[in-house]
Amino acid sequence: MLSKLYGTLLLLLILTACTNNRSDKTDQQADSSFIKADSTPTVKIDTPVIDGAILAFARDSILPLMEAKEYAGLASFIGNEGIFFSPYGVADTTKSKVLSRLQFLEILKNNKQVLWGHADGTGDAIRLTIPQYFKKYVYDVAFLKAEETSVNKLIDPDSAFSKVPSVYANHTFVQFYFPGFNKEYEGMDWKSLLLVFKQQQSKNYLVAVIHNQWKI
Amino acid sequence: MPWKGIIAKNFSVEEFDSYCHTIQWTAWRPSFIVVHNTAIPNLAQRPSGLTLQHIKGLEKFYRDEQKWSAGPHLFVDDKQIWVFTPLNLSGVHSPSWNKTALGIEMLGNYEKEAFDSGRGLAVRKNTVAAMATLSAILGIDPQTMRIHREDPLTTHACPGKNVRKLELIQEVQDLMVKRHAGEHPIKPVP
Repeated sequence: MLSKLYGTLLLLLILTACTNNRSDKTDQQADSSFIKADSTPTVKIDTPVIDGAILAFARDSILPLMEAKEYAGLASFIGNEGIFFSPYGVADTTKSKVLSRLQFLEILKNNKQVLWGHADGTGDAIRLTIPQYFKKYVYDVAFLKAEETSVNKLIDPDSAFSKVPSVYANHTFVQFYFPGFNKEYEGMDWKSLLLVFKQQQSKNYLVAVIHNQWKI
Repeated sequence: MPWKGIIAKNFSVEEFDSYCHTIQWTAWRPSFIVVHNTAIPNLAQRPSGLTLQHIKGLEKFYRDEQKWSAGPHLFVDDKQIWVFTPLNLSGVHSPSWNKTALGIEMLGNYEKEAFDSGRGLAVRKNTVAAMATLSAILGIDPQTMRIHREDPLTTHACPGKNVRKLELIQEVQDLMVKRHAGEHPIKPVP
């Protein structure tokens, strides 16, 4: 009888644990958090484990939303710092757009055109809606299938000049890079997308979306 | 705006000077010159300089990929001066100055490649020669020359840290004096 009672208790414990795990996972997905801070408190941000995890997080949670054009879903990853957009690889908030989560959602809802910067070469104002901007200056190629990726290291041809590592020194960033598409252009048509994350209360917030490509 | 077309002709320094004397700047007349480097392709990627095929490839890239109406005016390598966008039409090269300036692209990545020796030096000499010709014909003061990174709307460090503006200006001025000094020889002090 006692063993039967222990058995029932054990089963209940297991079921509760399983339920909690599922709940954690659901919360984790909803909160866009990937680091299990409670279970791995000693893991540091710069360890290879976390590097792999942040890459997986960007690949599994952010890029699919961009590919599916689910921009409202993307807004759930914008934290207090807001989100910075750059069409040409520059980490200069005076030349590009920073939006709070509310601003982002409002612009999206109203399909409003905003000034994101100026086009390379021509200098034309980049005045676009969020879907138009993402199509041209964020997810303009399938970065989910990027030929090269990196974590906390820049790999595109502009990496030597980039101020991203200093501007986002306390952040984690992931870069997706294509060295080129058309052999005829011999690398002039390279593209990269840099996603910068800030961890707050064990959640990952997307603080910068820095697109880059060849410039004259 | 439709593609303005390219000249796609290459010249030696002397031929370029003669060619420029045949052009009439009636529709558009530039006020100064902006210097760039190609970065991609760099000198190492073009061991024999730029060919007509390369120039055609650049045209395709600017016109079909970038959807621009034109490109820079010249591509200068270590062997020659290529005329790209007609020199008497405005080009696309510097966001703030497309309507007022000629754009000269130097083959190379002068953030990394040397500009004072080897092939980089040859590119430099050809560029200085082209600038001296254009400055003399158009009455442009070499002091007004700008480098691409000075454009407030430009986002990157073109033409690289190895290109020093004041040195280039001085070399253009020196060459202009050398080329035209014969008209007014300086008499020795008695």
